[in-house]
Amino acid sequence: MLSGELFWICALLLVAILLATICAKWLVWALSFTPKRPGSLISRAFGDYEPMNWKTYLASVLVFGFLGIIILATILMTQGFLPLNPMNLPGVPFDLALNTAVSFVTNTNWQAYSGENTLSYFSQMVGLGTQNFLSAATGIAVMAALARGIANQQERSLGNFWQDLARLTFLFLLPLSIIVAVLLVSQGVIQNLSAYLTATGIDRATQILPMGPAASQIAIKQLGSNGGGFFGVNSAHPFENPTFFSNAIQTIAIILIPMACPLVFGVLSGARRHGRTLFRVMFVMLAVLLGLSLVAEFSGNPSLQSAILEGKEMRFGAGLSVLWSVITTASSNGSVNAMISSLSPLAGGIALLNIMLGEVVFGGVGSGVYGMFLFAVLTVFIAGLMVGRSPEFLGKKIEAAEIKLAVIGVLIPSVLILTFSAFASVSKLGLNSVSHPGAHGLSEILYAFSSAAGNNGSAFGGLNANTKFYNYALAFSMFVGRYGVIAPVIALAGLLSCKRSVPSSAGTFPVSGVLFSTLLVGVVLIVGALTFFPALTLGPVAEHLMMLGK
Amino acid sequence: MIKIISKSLIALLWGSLACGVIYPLMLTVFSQTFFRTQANGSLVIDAQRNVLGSFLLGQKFTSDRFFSGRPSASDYETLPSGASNLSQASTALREKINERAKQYRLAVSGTPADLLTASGSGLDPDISYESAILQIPRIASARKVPQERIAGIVRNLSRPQLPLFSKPRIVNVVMLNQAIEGDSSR
Repeated sequence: MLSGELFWICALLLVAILLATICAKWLVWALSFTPKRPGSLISRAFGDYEPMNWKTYLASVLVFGFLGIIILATILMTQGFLPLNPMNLPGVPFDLALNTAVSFVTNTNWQAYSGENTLSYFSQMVGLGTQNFLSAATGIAVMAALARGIANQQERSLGNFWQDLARLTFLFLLPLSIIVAVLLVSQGVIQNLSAYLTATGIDRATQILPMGPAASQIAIKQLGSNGGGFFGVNSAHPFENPTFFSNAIQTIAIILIPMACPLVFGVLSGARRHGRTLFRVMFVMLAVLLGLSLVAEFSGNPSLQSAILEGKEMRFGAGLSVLWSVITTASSNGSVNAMISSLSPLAGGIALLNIMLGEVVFGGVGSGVYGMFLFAVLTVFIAGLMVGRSPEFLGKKIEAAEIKLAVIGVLIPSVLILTFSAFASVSKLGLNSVSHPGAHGLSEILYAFSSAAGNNGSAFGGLNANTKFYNYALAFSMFVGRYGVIAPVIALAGLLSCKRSVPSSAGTFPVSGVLFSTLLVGVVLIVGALTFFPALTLGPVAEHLMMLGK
Repeated sequence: MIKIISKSLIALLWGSLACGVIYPLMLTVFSQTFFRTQANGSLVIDAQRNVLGSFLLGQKFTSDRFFSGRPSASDYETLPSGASNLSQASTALREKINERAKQYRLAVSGTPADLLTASGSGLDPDISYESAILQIPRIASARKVPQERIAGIVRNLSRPQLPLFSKPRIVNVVMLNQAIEGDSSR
């Protein structure tokens, strides 16, 4: 590998960490913002809210998501009659509209379509753009509710969901998106409402130039760990990601808020050290996975070295494409700047593993932390079993009900991935969409369901996912993969909120430091590896071994 | 319950207005004022005000008078564009790579990899400096101009792939072809 690529990979990660610590402060401010003067407009927008117990908070999240899906699906299906449709694109069929609506509301942003030939500007802006913001804000809000539950002493209030939504959207996500969007436009990301142009071509080869308000969408797509591209090929498209610098900005934007979240969680839950420990655990795992992926990609196919540039863009090169593939899968973003299907089998396998680990190596905005929290609860439980002491987490006793909820939250994505992948790999419905036979084909199917259940949304490519079977099955996986984790998390927050902190003693297992970190990594890897090792062996590993045998 | 539903609808309404209407429209107005060229697709426009393409999007060059870009799985179509998604280990990719090397009458190992592989977007406007150098003799003879002249243009337009590192270098094929066309017609 080239020294330049290694230099820029390290530089981008360093800048991301630096900016994430600043963002964490901003986010803490936004989440605790309470206006001083009652009666003013600001006070009405951010102030006058009743506290909610966990049931009301959860019901609000669920109803808000459900109505969001209905409204978004309706917009997509009726776009033919709506304004801002210069290309006169017809309404989206029901199965694709439902899949896309669930996808954007659950912060997955799986795309079974290509924006440039399917969606009007109205659908992109008002439909998808809105949910890019609101789904990201929902994720962070759930994390904030959890943190409050831990900090509370025998109280019921987890905050107010509508207040959190307003604070996160107006005081944090919108201003940050404006900054990123302006930077992107300056690099050449398009932002207009024109009809597509027909270019005559320098060598007389006519080409249609797609247009649209892309920059505004792409800023929040990266910041909110959404990942849904304006164009089908996502951030590989030169209009979405035209230069080295636009690529650098987007790379940092992908990981920025996910990196800030564990720190914010630490502050809000009154356990800064625990927050920093979570950050370090996530960063170490990310660095190891990135290293492995780089080695795998640059070793490539020994008998066909040229293949390394397949599916990659020259303005990014292989190193920065691998960096992107790792952080986008680790952080539940799902955008791509190179085709994951054309990475070397093991580098593709690591992208897949990142998702299968439960989207907790930073993970999505908010969701990475509350996902990791479930693993942390399991960790203190296991540590408690080892010494025969009832486990505590930040002063709160962890009892049977808490463990049950944590196990449900951890298991739901795994069950979805394995059940649907198994069904798809033996049925005509599933296999008809696969483009490669054998091991690579299995990877395509596994990747699709992992991406959906883990709310990542990146695609392995190759798989024709716009069929009735995949649209419905993936929509179901996305929905249950999102709310099947959020529900136990908020319930857990409610249970912990009602408990009183017990003072820590010499026998208390600390949830910061090296011992806890090692055990936590162990639990994440054991759950991920034991669940998915057989499937990964038959997919990416088998393909790698067959490649070496050629 | 009814309270939650009405609160949800209100939140969706202000969310759509702020994030879905005001934010993108304000950004469009801002971009059209301060970054007009970039916001409209960095277009290539000739003296007669015809749109020839975009400097950012690769386009199809078939004539010997122009540098070829990278292979495109979607043949530089834009609605939609796309990649091959072929596995690096697949026979299909191996065959494609061998076939492309034959076009340049070179061994696979001796041809720059970017000319043998399809890009991720299907619209990659750039090729490596080596790939441009390789094509100079063909273009010089088709245009009946000295190779040195074309090589000079390639050198001028080439740029480092990564800032701060002088190598490897890449060059934008659309800019390059526009430049040699302009140079020849002078």
